[in-house]
Amino acid sequence: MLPHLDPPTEEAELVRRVLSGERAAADEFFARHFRPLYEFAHYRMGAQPAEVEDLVQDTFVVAFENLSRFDGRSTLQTWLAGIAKNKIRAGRRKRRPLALADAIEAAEGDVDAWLARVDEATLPGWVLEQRETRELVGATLAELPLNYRQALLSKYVDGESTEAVAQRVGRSTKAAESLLTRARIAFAGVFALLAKKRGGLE
Amino acid sequence: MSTPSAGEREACLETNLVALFEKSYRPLVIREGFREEVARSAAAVLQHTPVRQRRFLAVALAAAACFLIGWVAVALFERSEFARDGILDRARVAVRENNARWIAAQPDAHVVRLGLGAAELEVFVPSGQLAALVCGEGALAMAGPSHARFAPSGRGADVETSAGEFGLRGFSGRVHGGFGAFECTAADLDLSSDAQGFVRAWLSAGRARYTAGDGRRQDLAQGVLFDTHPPPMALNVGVPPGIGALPQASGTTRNPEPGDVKREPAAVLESALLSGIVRDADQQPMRKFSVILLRELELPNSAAPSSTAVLDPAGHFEFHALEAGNWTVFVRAEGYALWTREHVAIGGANVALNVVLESGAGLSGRVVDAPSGAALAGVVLISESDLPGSLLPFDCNESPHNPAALALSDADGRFHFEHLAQRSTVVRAVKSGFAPQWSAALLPGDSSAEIKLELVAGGSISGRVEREDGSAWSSTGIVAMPQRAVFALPRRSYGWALTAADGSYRIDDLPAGECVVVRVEPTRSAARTGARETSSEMRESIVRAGSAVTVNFLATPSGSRLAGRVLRADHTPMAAAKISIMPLNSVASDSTGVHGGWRSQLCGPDGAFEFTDVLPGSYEIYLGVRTPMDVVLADTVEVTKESNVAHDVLAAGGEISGSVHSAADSQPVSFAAIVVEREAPSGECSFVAKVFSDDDGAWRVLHLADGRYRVRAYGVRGLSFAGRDGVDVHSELPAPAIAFELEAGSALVLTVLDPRGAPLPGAHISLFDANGSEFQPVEFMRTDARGRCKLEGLPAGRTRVVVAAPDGTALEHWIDARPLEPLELELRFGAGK
Repeated sequence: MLPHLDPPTEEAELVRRVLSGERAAADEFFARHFRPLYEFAHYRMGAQPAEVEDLVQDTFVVAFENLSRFDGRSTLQTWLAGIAKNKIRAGRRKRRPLALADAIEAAEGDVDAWLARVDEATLPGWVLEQRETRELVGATLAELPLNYRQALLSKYVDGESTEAVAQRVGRSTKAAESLLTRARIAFAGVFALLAKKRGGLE
Repeated sequence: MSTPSAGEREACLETNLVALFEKSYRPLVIREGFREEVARSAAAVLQHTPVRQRRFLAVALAAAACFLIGWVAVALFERSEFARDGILDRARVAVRENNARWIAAQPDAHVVRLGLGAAELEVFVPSGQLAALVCGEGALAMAGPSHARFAPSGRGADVETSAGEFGLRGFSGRVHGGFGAFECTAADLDLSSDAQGFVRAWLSAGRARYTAGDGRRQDLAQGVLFDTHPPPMALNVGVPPGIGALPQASGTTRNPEPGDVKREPAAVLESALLSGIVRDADQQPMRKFSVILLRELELPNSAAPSSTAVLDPAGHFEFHALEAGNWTVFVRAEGYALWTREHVAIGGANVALNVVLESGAGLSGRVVDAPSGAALAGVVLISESDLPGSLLPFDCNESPHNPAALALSDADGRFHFEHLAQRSTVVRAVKSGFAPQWSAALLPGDSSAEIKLELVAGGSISGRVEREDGSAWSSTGIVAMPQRAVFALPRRSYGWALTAADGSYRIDDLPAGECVVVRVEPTRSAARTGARETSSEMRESIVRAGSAVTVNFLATPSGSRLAGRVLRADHTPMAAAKISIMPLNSVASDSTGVHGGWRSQLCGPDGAFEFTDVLPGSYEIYLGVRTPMDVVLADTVEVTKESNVAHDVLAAGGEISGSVHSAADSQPVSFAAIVVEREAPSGECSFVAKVFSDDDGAWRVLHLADGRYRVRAYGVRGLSFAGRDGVDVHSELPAPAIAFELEAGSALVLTVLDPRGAPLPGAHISLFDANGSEFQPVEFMRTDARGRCKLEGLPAGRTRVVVAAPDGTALEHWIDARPLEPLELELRFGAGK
């Protein structure tokens, strides 16, 4: 796991180092943003890996061509996701058929009804085993801010303690706990929203 | 249900998060190395390297290659002897060139089952290939992709086809098919189709009846296109049974038009909706799948497929505003074989497809290093028929539109495909440092289809490209394409490179053999249509394993324009004659018979022809006679460096005609090759004409100049040859008639070894009869890579076999051939017999 960056100042510094040609900075840039952007594109597009790869490649090329224009008013992740979204939208205009993003709501209605209540009821085992549930977890993580995503993965996938998370992000334990709480709430909100949208529950 | 408190929510969420991340979270698998690729691209941007420009260039190059390779395919096709109007003629050539094998005359045609005594036969013919079969007294030709099952019957044979294009000659029996186009001559047929199928048939002689799916019968009229093809809307084969019944196939007739049989069905009006329902074999809707669309274009144009992922609980998809015309629709889903429907006509009416995905069949095999037999790991294998699209670069290591079409060999060299469509395919193996290798055509799921691919070292092509002013031409594309990939494989494979700053390029790991090399101009060629004038951009070369050949595109003055008219002996124009020019002393390819520099075209109504970019030199001019296969040397011309060379071709008025019969039963022999050579006073003979006997065994050679000729008739099906020397032709005298009777012949399988005992490829073989007269019973008289050459049609009696090694040394041996008794002979240089 990479250390947490405090946007926008640290990210602006990272961008400056990248633009100055510092190899380590470029490596850090990719280490931090490559996988989240790939996952974002994957769940947004629902396309073949080749198409996702094309989009990711194009997004980074455009981003690096315009990196000097990054003004730090948003996070780099949001900025990159914005470029990717535009490209996805442009691509979708060319082919009207149902794409995953259009039809992500097309899952089993009762599965999504359960998932939409992620903070209200314990999810039954059969719901956890559904493929749609896996996709929704991935899609939700792909939508979250980078620091929330990293915090959740540290805590629930890597099994780190709150103290360890705090140490890695350079914050106090209390601040890390707060970050995790906000990440959990954000996850629940996005997760439920996507589930409702997908299941046509709204 | 009561609303939970904030604390309860937090606890519930915590519980669910633990469970979700433990049981439902799976990090996405990202292709290894992709991140590094992106990082490199991005780094290049920062270094002001025009990455996007390079990406554009790659796309443009692919588009241009698409076009030019298509154009090359057309050019080669026209120059080869496969450019025929009718499938029977095309198959006839195939048979002629493979006269050792009447069944599955094309080596890649896939005979799946061959019962005892050929009681049952099932044949798959891959796309772009031909097969010819003999059933009783008749012959049946198949143009791929097609599939048929055969069973003998009292009348001849029962044939069941699922789809394809068929030619039937002298064929009696029943033919039942789902979809098919039939070209019938001298036939006695009962045609029938499924209720949802259709039949197009052209009966030039004989009788044929058609029984529709609803039992209605109709006789086919000779010389009239019989077409049960439903209107475009009937391609709504996606309408589920019982919801919207398809129109029943019914026989309709209309006046024939030239080329009717081969024309695409039904013109389209405007764009329309393409939709479909995708189900699995249990008729359950597929929730997630991809639809891949490929526009079907006439060569030389071709299109790239586009894929769209669909997630829909009802398995429904739809496309709007597709360009009107014919499309191929592919549907794939993980764990299922690729579903393919060709020739889907878009335009006018909406089209609905009913897609049922099958799990498909597996296919296993092993890849080894040919010299050592050692297993090869990391070999990329692609099942070509399972890959949407038409172009397949050698450096393709992924199957973007159907991952199931791709496999990688493991440490034991073993590979396995899991979900291949159950139709004929060819597996291509590629590994850096080796030449690409293709399997024979095979059928996934067939228990005998375990394949072994042996890779050998490849060859390279390198060279330099110059602009017209002689300066180096950098960043232009060079495409190298083996000729086999042009004609005989489901996909057109090619290697490519961009020229460096000094105009140099190099393409490695190419298969040995004839190769077409094309210089591609990405910025212009992509938009070009019908650009026949690009012939100067194409070169032909022979790639040799383990070595590099040089193919340059240097600045050279453009050639001359050779134009004129073809006139008959009475000086009237010969309309629509096929005229060909060939540089004098051109050497034919050993494997294809295509001569380098051979160019053909059809004359206009006034007999006019025009060849551009003809380099200075001496050329022979050939005319087609009755069929495009027949050629007669009509003239020679010296092309000078002048920009325009005018030359009328005056076809001579002499002719020879005759017949060919079997000596054993006096039956006419069709497809016999009649070779005419001119006898010089010195006794030397030079080639003048080649024609083929027709179904009645008759043949005729026109446009011969006055003189003395030697005529040879080479039979097929194990018949020997016969000849007549000293045939005098004079245009003002009656044409000589020669009746050949062919005796049963013998066959010789000759193996030639070098002094070390290793097979000697490329050795040339000459045969002389007891009188010392040379004869050539088969087209290609050279040993193959195994040092072998099979010679059929040898006359009974003593024959002198002379073998000339590539280094010029020669040895000879006498054989005593007996009819129908094949001989095997091994000759070794430096060691006698």
